Amino acid sequence: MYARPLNRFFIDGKLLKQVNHTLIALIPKVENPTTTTQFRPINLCNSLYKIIAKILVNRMHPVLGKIIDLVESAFVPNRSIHDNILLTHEVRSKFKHMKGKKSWIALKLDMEKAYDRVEWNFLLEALKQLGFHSKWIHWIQECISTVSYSIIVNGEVIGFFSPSRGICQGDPFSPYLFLICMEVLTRELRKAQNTKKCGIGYKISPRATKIPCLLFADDSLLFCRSNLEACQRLNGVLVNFCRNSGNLSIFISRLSLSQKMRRLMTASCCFSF
Amino acid sequence: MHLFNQKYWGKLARKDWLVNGDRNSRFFHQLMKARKSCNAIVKIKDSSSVWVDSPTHIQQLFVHDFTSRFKSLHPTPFSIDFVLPLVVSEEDNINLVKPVEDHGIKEAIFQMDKYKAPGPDGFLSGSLAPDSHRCMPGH
Repeated sequence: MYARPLNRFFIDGKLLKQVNHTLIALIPKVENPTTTTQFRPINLCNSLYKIIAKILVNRMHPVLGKIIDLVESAFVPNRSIHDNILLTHEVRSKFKHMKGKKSWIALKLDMEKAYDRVEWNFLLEALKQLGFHSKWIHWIQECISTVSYSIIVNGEVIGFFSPSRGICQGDPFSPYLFLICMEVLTRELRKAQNTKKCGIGYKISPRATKIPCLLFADDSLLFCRSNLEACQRLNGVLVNFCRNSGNLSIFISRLSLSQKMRRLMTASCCFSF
Repeated sequence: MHLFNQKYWGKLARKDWLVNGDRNSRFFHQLMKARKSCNAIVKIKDSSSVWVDSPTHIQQLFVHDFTSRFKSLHPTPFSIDFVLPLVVSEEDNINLVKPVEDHGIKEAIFQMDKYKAPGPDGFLSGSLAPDSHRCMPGH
């Protein structure tokens, strides 16, 4: 019963809008939610669409390890999120016992409604530049752009609208698409880090490789030297990423410093989003 | 005595769950009612933090909020300046876009969780799996 519509999608690359109609269920993020933003939208897709998405994901799986940088630990096959947790602890303890002239900053970034705010152009451009086949990109585009939503509030289905940005949470391949978006940031940081004396990235020991950031899907931890130039450079990269990716708003939720806290003021002043 | 009571009632509650948890019983209906009232959104603050409590207004608020959240701020393609290296090889691409086959569909269906909430069509993925041979041509 599913073979024909599936073939239709994979051969003609056309997906009926009705197939991709999706209900948004609201799951409270906190104990007693008071505003609409405290609900997490989880999408309940049609089974046909789910099968299509699942097939796409299964095909993408083997390629993922190649595309996504080692600093990302979530969702990528054969990587464990615990590695990054361990590394984070390592860096923190290093920060605590640091001696000498240099001092460092670790920034924890929070992205507000990251999944819902991804711009489609940005995502498709990233896929294109990574070298995905145009047919494949077209499939992805068809899947994300034919969505229409209705919301379930108190058991009633209400509203009907078509989005023009965002990827659905609850869709099997949305985490992977989000990883690709974050990959753009990682690559930019890596590029910035490779220029000499830029101050972005952190080495645990003199022989170790430099880590520009550690990512856990939409949570990220960035490292830089605590001087004005390095912070400005990092700020530049982040502002650029924000602009490219549409309006992902980034907050610094936590800022931790190595010994030498005096430079805190210069560091925290120059980040502006 | 207290401990005994606790154990006793604990066991009894467990038994209730086992026997009536999934049946069309009074216990089950009470449970569902409690759950429903727990999850109901009775009132909510709008963007200017004023409490809204009429059901239609709550619904409107949600629709409005989500419509604007999913609306792109860049209707026309905007300039993008980043460069990523080509990492997906020809070989990978052949695998990515090869025509879909029966075992690919079957694999996808069997991977899905059986009891996840259904979408608008009302099909549980689990209802597909046991007789999914019907999806295949030739049956």
